[in-house]
Amino acid sequence: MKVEVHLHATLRLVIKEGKGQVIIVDLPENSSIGDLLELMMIDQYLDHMLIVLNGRTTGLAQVLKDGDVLNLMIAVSGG
Amino acid sequence: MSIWRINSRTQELEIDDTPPGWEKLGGRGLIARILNDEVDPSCDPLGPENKLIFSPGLLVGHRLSSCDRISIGGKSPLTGGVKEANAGGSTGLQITYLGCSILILEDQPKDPKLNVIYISPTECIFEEASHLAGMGVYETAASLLEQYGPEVAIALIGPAGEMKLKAAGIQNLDQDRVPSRIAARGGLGAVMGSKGIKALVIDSRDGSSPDIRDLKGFRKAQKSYNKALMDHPQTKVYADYGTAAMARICHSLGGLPTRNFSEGNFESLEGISAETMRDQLLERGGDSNTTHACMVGCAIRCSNLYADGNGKGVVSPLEYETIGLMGSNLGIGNLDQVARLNWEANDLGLDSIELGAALAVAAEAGKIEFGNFYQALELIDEIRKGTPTGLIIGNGAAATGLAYKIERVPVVKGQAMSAYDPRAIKGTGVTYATSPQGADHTSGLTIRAKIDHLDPNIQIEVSRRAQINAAGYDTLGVCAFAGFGFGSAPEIIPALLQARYGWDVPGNILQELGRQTLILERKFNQRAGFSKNDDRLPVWMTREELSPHNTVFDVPGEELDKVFDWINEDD
Repeated sequence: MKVEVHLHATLRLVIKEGKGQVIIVDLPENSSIGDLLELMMIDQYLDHMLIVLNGRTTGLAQVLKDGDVLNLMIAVSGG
Repeated sequence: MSIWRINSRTQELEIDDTPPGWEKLGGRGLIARILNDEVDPSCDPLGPENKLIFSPGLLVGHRLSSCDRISIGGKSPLTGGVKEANAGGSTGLQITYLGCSILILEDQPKDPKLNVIYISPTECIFEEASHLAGMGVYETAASLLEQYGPEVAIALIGPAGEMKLKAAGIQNLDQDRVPSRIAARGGLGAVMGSKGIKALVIDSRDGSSPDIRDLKGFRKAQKSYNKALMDHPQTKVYADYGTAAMARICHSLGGLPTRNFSEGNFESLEGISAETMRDQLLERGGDSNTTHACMVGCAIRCSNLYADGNGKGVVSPLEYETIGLMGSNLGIGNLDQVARLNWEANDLGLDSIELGAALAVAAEAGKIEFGNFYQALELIDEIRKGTPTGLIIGNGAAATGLAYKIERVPVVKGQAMSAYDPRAIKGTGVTYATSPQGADHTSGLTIRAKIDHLDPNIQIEVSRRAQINAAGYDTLGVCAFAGFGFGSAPEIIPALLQARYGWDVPGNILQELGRQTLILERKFNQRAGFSKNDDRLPVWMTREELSPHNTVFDVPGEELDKVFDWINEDD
């Protein structure tokens, strides 16, 4: 299955392809968000990451499905 | 602790000892205490009974990273209730260097002439300033710096404050002497204008940092705090992207205010995102700066300097709330245009949130087109000219809605919402509804909580916690962004207070201060005539669905009333 991953702010730079902001990741069926982050090697930020799946905040255990849109960011506040 | 009272009518300074009950408060909490003790809640906010209070937080004065904020307060001309607005820059630090714990501007002159007040550790001088009347903030600050020297701190108003407009704030110099650190909300600039004061010039060259009881203990706690800040991944986000990083976060949650809060996603998001801004500024170079500190010693450095295509500085800082309210909320997807509007707001001395919201309400009424930057600029120019239309807009979103008969006005207690639509981020909606300050994200933003922001059943406790912590930080003079540093090492705040003052404080002193502050603020508002009916979002937000989630604000009123159910308000 394919999942669309949007990376924001500092996270966009951790992807080796450079400044990629949107990437399509091919995952085995029943993969969770935790599995995806491990695969992408950005699991070191887990404690501070805001995970938004199809517009709603969710957690690592959430199982993904084909066509999901995932937004990942280190959560900050406005000013 | 010494209380400096400056009478704007007699032009005299009186220095008092601390009244009982004031000793262990600072910043926002002390403002609420003073308003209860000394200001008639039913008074005219622009009359002689109101006071304008400059209150550095309890930790201000030591160049601790992000801990030198100035709280400014009084009865709000915009909400009619309690008001505290805080800002970075150098005002807070220099007031403490005078040996002053709190500065209260009182009374009102009968003579309408404008004055500048100059204060040093030994002097308080009123200087007639009619030559500064109607002058923008940037030119005024440059003129005062030339007259008084580059070392002074300045708190000043623009034409909006002189015109006593309800969206007027009070600007403060940043560490580079740029006058754009605004105590923005609630119309405090109008209170300053009503007392005939264009600027407060603070010269602390002959002063010194406040005493520290246990310097060794203070430095030890400071070291732990600096480490907690620097180790935190949020510091890097703030330094590289600033608060503008919120644009994509809010968009992804469907809560980015768009075209007068009518949609939660903006098709031109990339035109106003932090990622675009950073790439653009790095490419433009020149005056551009993506990582900038507003206060001396700040390690987070969330501020920026936005430069145009030629690398020439336009405005500093360009922040998320302005991007939301003067960008997507006006249908404008171009950072150069938002930066220009921001400069105008700053120069007039206006709150960019309130102004952005008011302009969008005017657009809803057909006075300008959404997305038309030039028309927005023309409407702002009406404010500068003081035309009837300009006065309507400059009095904020509620006044604009009233004048143009628009129902979709995003305000609570008369104050415009910040750049988080409360139908998509419902915990922040609970804060908007119930905060004694009126709609304000800085009173308790919940967007970082790892919860479903659309679920109406889980927001009360999240907002309550955020509001208590925010009121605590505001009482300490601590920037909200330092909260993640203190949050990861909660023992540091008690350690700093113990070392600074010799007080024996509990481990939860942050929350204790926050609760105390909120109790006092609620009390003032109740005495001013507020009831639970004022703790509600506008009705249209409970029935008009917000795309893309097609959700309304559905936290019930009886639930909102529980946010402060820990206070015994029958006393």
